[in-house]
Amino acid sequence: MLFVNSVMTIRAGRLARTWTSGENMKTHLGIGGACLLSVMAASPAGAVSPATQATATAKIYKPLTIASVQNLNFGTIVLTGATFSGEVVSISQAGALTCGSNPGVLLTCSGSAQAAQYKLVGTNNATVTITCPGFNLTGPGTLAFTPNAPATVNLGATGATTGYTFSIGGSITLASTTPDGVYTGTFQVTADYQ
Amino acid sequence: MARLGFLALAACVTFGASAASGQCRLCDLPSIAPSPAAPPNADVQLQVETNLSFDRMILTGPGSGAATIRPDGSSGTEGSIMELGPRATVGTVVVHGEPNRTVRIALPRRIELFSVGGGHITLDDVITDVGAIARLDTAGNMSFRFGGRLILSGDCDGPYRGDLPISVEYQ
Repeated sequence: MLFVNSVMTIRAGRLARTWTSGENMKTHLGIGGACLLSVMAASPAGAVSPATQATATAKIYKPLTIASVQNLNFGTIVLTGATFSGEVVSISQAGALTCGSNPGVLLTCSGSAQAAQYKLVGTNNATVTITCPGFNLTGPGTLAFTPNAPATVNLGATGATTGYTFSIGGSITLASTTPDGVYTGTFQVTADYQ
Repeated sequence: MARLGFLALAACVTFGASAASGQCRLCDLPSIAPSPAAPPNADVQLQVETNLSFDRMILTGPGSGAATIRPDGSSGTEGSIMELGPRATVGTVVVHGEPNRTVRIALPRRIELFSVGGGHITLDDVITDVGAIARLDTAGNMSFRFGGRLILSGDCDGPYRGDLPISVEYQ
C-alpha cells in the first residue's frame, strides 16, 4: 500500500510539468501511475451494467390532403320486374356494375356507371387509413347506401407529387315498390396516416 | 526507470483484483457468505421496458419545429409540427441490483435519428425523472422514465430511428 502511494506521488509530479521527447522512461512511470489511479477509482464503485440500447423512433409526415376526382354514379336503373325485393345493385371499386340477381328481367341498368374516386397527396410510401361510413341516398324515397372502400392505401413513391388516387364503390338494395326518381347522397370520406 | 514503471503497472493490477474479488477462490470455505437475494457488488442490470416513441408527427410546412416528450408523459409541439401521434410513449427502464445502493445513470443528452434514405434529425435534452443519481429500493429495484426533444427542420418527412445507449453503475 505504501508502494502504491509512492507511485501516485510520482505521477502527480509528472503532471505538474511539461513532458519532452527525451523523457521516455519517466513517461512510462507516469503511465503506470495513471493505470493505478483508474483502477483505484473503479474498485469502490462496483459493478457497471453493460450498455443497453433503447431506441427512439418517429414518423414524420407531410400534411395529407384529399380531393374528390369523380362522383359515384349507378347510371339509370329501370325496375322491370312486376314484384321483387332485395335486389342489390352494386359498383365495385374498379367501377364494374352488378345489376341485381337477374339483369334485364327484374332490373335493367344503363348509362355510364362509375365508382367514386378520391386523390390523396402526402408523404411518399406512407400508409393511409380510409374510412367511409354508410349513408342514405335521398330522393322520392330513401335508399341505404353501403360503401365499398379500401381499408388502407399506400401512397407510393409519388405520393408527395402526383399523389395517389383510390376508388370507392358501393351498393343499394331495390324492390319493386321503390319510388322512382333521382336519388343523391354525400360521402363522408376520411383519410389519416396509419 | 522503465522497470519501475512496469512494476508499478503490475502492482496496480494486483491491487485492483484483490479489492474487486469478494472471496478467496483457493480457500476451502468461502470467506464471505453471500446472500442469495442480494449479493454484495452484484451486477447491476437494466432492462428497457418501453422505448421512446414520438409516434407520428404531421408537418404544417417546411419550416423548423420541435416535439417534446417529458419523463412524466406529457408532450408538446412547436413550430411547424401540427400534432404528435396518440401512440407516443415515454421511455421506461427498469434497474435491478444490490438493495439500497446508489447508482449513477448515464445516457446521452443528444443523439441522432436516421431515416432509410439517409436523412437525420436530432433528439436532444434527453432527461430522466430521477436525475443522474438514484437509489435502488430495499428489493434492489428501481425504474425511471426518460424523454427528450426532437428537432426538425426542412423537408424531413419519413420514418426515423436512433439508438440511445443507457448504462447504470454503482456510485
